[in-house]
Amino acid sequence: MMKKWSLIVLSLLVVIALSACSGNSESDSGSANSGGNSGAAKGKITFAFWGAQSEADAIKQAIDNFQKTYPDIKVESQWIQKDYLTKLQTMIAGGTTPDVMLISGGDLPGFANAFQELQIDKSLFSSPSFVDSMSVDGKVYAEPFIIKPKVMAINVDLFQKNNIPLPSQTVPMTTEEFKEISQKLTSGEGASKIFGSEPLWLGNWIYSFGGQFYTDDLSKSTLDSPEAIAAAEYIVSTKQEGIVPNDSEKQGQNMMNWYLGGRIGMFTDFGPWYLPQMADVQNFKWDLVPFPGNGGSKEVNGLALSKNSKNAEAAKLFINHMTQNEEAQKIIGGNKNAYGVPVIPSATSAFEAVAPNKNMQAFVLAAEKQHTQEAQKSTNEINNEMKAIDDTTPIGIGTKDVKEVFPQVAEKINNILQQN
Amino acid sequence: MSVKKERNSTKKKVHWLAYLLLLIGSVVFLYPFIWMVSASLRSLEELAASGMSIWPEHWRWGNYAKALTAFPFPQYLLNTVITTILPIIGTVLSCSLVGYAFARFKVKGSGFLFVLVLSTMLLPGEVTMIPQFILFKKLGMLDTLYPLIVPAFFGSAFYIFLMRQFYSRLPVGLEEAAIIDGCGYFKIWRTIFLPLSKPALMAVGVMVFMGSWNNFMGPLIYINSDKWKTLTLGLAGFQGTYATDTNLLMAAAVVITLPCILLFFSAQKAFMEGLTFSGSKES
Repeated sequence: MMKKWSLIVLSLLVVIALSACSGNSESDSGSANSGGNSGAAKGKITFAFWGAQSEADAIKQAIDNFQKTYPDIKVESQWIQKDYLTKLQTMIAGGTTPDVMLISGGDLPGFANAFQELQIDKSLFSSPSFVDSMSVDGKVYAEPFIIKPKVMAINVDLFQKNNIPLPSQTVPMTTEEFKEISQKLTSGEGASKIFGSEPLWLGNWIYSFGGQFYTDDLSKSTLDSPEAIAAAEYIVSTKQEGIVPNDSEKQGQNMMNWYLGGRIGMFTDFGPWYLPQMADVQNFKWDLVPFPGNGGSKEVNGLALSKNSKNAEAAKLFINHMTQNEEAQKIIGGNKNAYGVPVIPSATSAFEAVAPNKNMQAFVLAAEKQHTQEAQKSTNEINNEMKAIDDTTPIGIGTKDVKEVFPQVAEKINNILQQN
Repeated sequence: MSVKKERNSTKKKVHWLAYLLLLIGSVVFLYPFIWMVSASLRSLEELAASGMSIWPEHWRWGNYAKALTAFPFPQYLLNTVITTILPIIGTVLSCSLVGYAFARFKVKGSGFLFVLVLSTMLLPGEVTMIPQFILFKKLGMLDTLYPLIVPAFFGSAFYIFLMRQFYSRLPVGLEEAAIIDGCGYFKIWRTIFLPLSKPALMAVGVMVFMGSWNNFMGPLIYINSDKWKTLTLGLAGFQGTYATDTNLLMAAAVVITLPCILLFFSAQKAFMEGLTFSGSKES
């Protein structure tokens, strides 16, 4: 008898718990209770974005700012902590595409089919290149939202200790100067060796040498160009001269941790996301200078509108507010966790105030002038071919001459581009 | 006599060697965990300079407070507990019932059906993800905890296999005696098979616990609202695309890993018994 009762109680518990697992999702859709500036647009829109907790907090604050201006439009935020593209693909395939999605320029070509084409005035933004980065085949599919450029962080104490004059805060040093300084900064042996720089990344340095990955119309790979090969040979030479950590030294190591620990003089791949970590640095003086040569590459993130949005009018208002409203842009750009550089000139002061004693202007200039990461639709196939660079040349673990490998990789990429 | 002494000393040497190897093994497996605890008590700057050392210079207990207030910890914890306990109940009930049927009801086609069930293990999660997502959308269950709970009540091939192996080894006499006494099949399962299969049920329970407690992809795909998110999603929030708050991530990870460790140690005996009994030791 007791066992029967215990079974019944258990079943009831399961039923009660299950009924507690679903919210009344209907109740929060289409809230329209007070007048605002939204005109006819009202109702609910969904907005998906990625990012760490700190970045999500900044975005949620900007959403609150939008809600204050447009109380008739309810924004349901979908913060996707990790594996953003997997979830986005699942939602699109499952027919539950969010109305507005954060998308990076690099991922845009693969998703453009799911987005509406937008008409955007380039002159609203600090640089017309922001809008160009959001285009696929000449059509704009997202509105620029935030820029993540690269600058170089230097260990000022190490420069002074080695009697090296501090680099200019506005004029980028040449690639030759970078190498000379790296040689002077390198000292010691073994576990205490100090390096001029962290291992250099082709994705930044190809632009330093005036090269790029594709032709301007993205129809052909330019990895076989003299500039790309010069950049590759330069990277190999820094490894051979021991002014950057070699493969066994960098294996499993976090290079930012090495910079924070004082073992790296110039950290070249420095994006705004590293600024919160630098705020706690006590053991050495540091500052920011422009990326050497013409180099570095910026990531442009934009807001895209779903092709299937049932509330496109409200979604467009939201996109415009988040990207063009000074207050919203200041909230995002001025977040203490340094989300990125705002896209409109009037809001950049908020970003510079994140680290007032540092040369934040280097980021702002880089955002305007730096080359955008080039993107293709067949990212995975192309990345598979690009692996040959690391596997077979001394840029990675191989021994083959870059002059031999780069044209071969370019040819394979061109074949992929032709097939698509 | 001397031969016996020699044998004893060889035995001792082998023992020492075994313990030495075990000790080295334990250090290798324990070090990452100790490093995790140590990293959770350091600043990012100290973490960067610490290398292999596991003794923090300044013990920053505040990291724990910071990590656990960075996201709505109690809410995420409650959701994790619900999506762990209910799947355990569901899996234990459904898999033991189905395993019992496969072990005891030898009817035409049951062998084929069993192979069919096992073949579902060959399908990788990536293949079934989108169809399952569409299914739950049609059921109106997206952005709820249902997709993380309901499937457990419909069995899982591996656990069905585990339970069938266990039940196949129980003497048929038990069942026959019960039938003579007037027991039905359901009552036989409930009053004889279930109580006898405690070690196997514990093993299944612990494995489902580990799987559900650490489930990341399920909550990521099905849940959008903060109010239904689980601890694994909370942890992911410390990792940005490029930079990670390693110390806070480790502090939250320590707190989240503790229940798994406590459960494993408290159910260790039953867990091992269940696995070996239902595994390859067929007589």
